[in-house]
Amino acid sequence: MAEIRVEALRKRFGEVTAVDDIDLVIADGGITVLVGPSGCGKTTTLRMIAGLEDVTGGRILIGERDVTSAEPKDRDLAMVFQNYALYPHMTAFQNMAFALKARDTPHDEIRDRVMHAAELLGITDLLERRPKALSGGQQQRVAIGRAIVRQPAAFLFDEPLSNLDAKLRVEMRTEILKLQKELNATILYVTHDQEEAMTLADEMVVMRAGAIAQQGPPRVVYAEPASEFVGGFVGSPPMNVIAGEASGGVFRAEGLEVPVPLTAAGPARLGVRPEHLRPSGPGEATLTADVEVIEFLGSSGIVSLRRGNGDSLKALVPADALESVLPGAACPFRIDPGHLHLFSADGSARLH
Amino acid sequence: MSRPLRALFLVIAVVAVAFPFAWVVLISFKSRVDLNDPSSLSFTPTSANWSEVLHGGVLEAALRSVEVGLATVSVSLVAGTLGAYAISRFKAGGGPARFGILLAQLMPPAVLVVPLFILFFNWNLRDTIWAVIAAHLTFVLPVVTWFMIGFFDAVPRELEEQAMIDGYGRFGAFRRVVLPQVLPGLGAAAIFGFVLSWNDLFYALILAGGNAETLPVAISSYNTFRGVELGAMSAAILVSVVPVLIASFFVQKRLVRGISGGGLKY
Repeated sequence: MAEIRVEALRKRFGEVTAVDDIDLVIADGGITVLVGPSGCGKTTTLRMIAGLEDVTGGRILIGERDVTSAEPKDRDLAMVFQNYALYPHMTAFQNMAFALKARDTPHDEIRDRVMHAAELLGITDLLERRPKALSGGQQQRVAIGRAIVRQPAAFLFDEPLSNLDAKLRVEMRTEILKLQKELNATILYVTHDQEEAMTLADEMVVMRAGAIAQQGPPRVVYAEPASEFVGGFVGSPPMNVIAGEASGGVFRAEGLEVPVPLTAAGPARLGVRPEHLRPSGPGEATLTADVEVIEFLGSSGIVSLRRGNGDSLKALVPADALESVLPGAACPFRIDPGHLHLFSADGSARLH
Repeated sequence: MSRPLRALFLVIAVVAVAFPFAWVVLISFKSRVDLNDPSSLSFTPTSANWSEVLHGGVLEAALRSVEVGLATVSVSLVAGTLGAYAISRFKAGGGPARFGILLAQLMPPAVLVVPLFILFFNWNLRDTIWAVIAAHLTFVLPVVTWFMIGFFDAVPRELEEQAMIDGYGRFGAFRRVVLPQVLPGLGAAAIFGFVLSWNDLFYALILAGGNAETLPVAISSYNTFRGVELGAMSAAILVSVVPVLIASFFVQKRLVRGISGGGLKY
């Protein structure tokens, strides 16, 4: 396994800049997840690292080796595609053995490595089947197995779980985590699903418009989003944002006043995660809002609120506190002062 | 369409197609005398027409047609497959190439045949199968290319990307992973192209009407200055038609699929 380093990487498609001078270190033996909305440049970045896309500028290093202009086959990387890209005319075994054959690996070793990977993934009895005779989840396992037998410097995953149903997706997520620990693999993982990113990542890289919006462990990115975009993208339901004015350590918006640990004055935007907006007694309330609907999830419920000025908010309320919340009624809510996010007026920077 | 109506429609279609064919079979067994009334059903069958055809150079012409067809198809498959792959994957020639490749088919063959004739005359290739092969390439190659584009379009790009990551260059990935996916299309294109070449009379007649005559030219030669030798011509026509019928039977499904744009199930 090896570390991958990306320096000032850039990609232009004609007039459009898809990836704009990004620097990135994919740590050896960890999962780095590139996440962002579609068109943010995450897949292009992955494809440049794989060698499937030429770079417009910058360098890519795998270990100490500069592979910026190397052929994909000479980069010692394995990749798992969203549609698995299993060779339809080969059995699962042949699919997994393909890359080893290409490298003239001795027969016995090929068999040993394929069998080992197959055992790891629980697909030993599927090896003689063609992809057409496999379910989506089984195809996914074969695709991962094909990557594992390579024993590459690093693994690249391009939205590998997107084609699976919800239940299987959660299962495979756990499996990928286990495999990673077992193989101590270096993984670069691309997804548009922030939940997948949070659960898998050692290091999370949030991208937007070809640039890195924030990079760090999922906990840090979640707790201290660097911008309103990151705050809104990471976390579900997304963060509430209220526009207002900060001065003298207080954030003021229509019908709302919250003390903030900030001395500077001027227009600002207050970010509040749904779980930090709770029903309260009238005395300690920060704001009052009309309850529109409640989506019950079991252990909690998502409450859709509308404030007097028309702003809509969402609160994630534990099930036992849901009783005081009545659809159609105006209810008092309290913003947890310990979990505030204050962004600049344009949302681009975190003030606190 | 209701069932009986459909059955009626099919019966009419079968009769319309089979009737002329049956007639040609009958005529091929009629003597010159019986042919005074070609539509009469009462006659004494004779094998004279067949023996004339078998000894009169038709088989040699058929063999030549096979040679021309195989050569044309071989070149078309190699060049057409590579061309189609380039057009499908790299948009070679831009958007217009995809259909523009068939543009030459809109030109009347008569426009093309004169320059070809002069060219082969100057190269001393007139009345050789090389001239016919070259002429046939002008229409078989574009059709094969166009046919294969749809099949390549249907192969997911990720397959070859995976192969390139797995250890092959562009060509290795093409040969080991992409080509096997389009083999059915390739087979259909080969037969389709062969039939096109096999059936051509116009180019073959003008470029090689003498010693290097192909089967359609041989058939046309039964139209003599004494009149049409219907019996022998019918026998020769059957030599030409039967292989095509058999080939069509085997490729019809893929032919339809190719014409409707690939649709390879992946």
